[in-house]
Amino acid sequence: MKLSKFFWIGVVFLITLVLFAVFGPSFRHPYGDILGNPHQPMSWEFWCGTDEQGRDVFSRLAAGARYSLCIGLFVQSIALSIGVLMGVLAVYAHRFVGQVIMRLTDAMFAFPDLIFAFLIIGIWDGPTSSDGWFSMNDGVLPVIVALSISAWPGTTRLVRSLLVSLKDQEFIVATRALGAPTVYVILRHALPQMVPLLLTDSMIDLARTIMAESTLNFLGIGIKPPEPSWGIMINNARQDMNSHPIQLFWPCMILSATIFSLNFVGDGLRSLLDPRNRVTYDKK
Amino acid sequence: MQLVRAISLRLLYAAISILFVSVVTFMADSMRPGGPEYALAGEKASKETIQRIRHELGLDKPWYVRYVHYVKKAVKLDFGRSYYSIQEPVSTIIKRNIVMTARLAMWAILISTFIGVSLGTIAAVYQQRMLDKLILIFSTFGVTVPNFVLAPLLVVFFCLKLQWLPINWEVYRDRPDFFYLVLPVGIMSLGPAARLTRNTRSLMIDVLHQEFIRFAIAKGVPKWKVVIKHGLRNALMPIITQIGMMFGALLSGSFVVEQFFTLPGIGKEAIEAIKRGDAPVTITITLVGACIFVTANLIVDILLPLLDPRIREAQI
Repeated sequence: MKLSKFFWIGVVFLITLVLFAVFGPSFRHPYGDILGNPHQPMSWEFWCGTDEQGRDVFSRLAAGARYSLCIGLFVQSIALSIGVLMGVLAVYAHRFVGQVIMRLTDAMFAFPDLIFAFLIIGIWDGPTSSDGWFSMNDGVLPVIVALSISAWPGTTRLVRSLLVSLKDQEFIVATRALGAPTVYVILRHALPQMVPLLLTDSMIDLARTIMAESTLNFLGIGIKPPEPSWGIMINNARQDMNSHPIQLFWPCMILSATIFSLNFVGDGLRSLLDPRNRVTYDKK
Repeated sequence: MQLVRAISLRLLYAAISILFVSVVTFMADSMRPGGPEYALAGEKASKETIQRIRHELGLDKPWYVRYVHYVKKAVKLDFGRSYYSIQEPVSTIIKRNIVMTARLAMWAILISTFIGVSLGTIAAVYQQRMLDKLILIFSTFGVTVPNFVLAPLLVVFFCLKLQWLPINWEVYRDRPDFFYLVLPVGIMSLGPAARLTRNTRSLMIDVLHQEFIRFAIAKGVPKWKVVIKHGLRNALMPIITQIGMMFGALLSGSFVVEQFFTLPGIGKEAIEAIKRGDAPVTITITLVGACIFVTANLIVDILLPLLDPRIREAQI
């Protein structure tokens, strides 16, 4: 099957973004220092201009990319591990356990997800956050925990529905008939079948996670302000949008382009696996 | 009889969901370091004062005791009082704010359903042609652009450059409400509409390739009648399920939009309550949100077998 050109644009953009996130923050200027006058336009000195405090927007975008990608990858790997474990249990464990897990995912879907993230973050971040247990200064850990907890139910449902259809296929039944233990069947035969599908799926979920992370930052409860993030930059730029609307451009652009590329690459990979399924279905 | 059993099982699941949400919310809230008593007592308060305030608010009891107490009163729609300012009853706060959110959400649901279903159908009919590609661009745009990116861009364009629309909701409005709500509703409906377009398109493509569609066309039924009466009716069930799921996304959407346009809704109220640590308000808003979501999906689950004989037979 031929992949669309958007797929390749997405791939190129994502590779650039990773390089940008790795090398960008220390490439030209330190991202935290006030280097010039506020709201400078694009120039040779400051490639994307300076923000409302006079910090280099280019470095801040790169550091924001670093945070977004790290949080996204962490959250997805945690959600994937919990999701696969729960999904396998839901199919192969006792019927009662399966019921409990599925009801739990139902209940998690009923939770307004932003409020859930707020609550989890609130556990760390009360009025006296300095002496709270496990407080971290930049506020990254609470975001990771909150987003992972609300991300696993989707994966669990996907794994369960895949396993249910795999369970009665001939090669699985044959392996079982030969006397293979259940754990062996799952690890050796069932899971490898699902790996490509799960990976493409978590690619699209990665886009959703980055969106959620930026929403939290935009609303001012994610990463703590001296550290940069795209959501915080959009929120800061919004306050000056009357006088300096150009400040909105860069963070909005890079965030949309990231989500755009992740979706296209995920969709492209998925259509490689299953030509019938060219359009994303929502799990929710 | 089977149908009654299925419905009562659904009701039970819905109740379990709401129970779970309320317990987790209560537990998470009680784990927060610090509490309202420190903020209320001020910085120089003595230990005795703090103890007294804790006792007055009932915070000296463990969280499960408070939970049972809360549920007992919540059944009678009494959700306690806010910790701060004039200690308003929570039910008053909710009543005051829910009107705006309901208004936004209802319009957003109507608009996104209409746009999503019609664009998805059109795209499926004109598959792989110009119109389909245009609609695909729209739906990709809608899925990938977050609403807090779209909101400032549209505000800069329509409110600041062109000066057509006002930005903030005010108590004394000099123009009809339409001008204040058109941007928020539009931004809220874009994401769901785009997702619905995608799903409707792929469902309709599946349906339109089936035998009975070709038969209907062959026997001479007009094209649009085939698409709507034979095609859309068969793709309708997953679409309805997705509309039910939309309620959850819309509540999250209202958080950003209300915060951005300073609209007095429960999303904005929830953020303020969480930031000041106002547990009764937070918990009640979470519960209201969960109840709306669960009820919407319950209605969908009950509607589906009534509308679709195939599901009815599968359940019986």
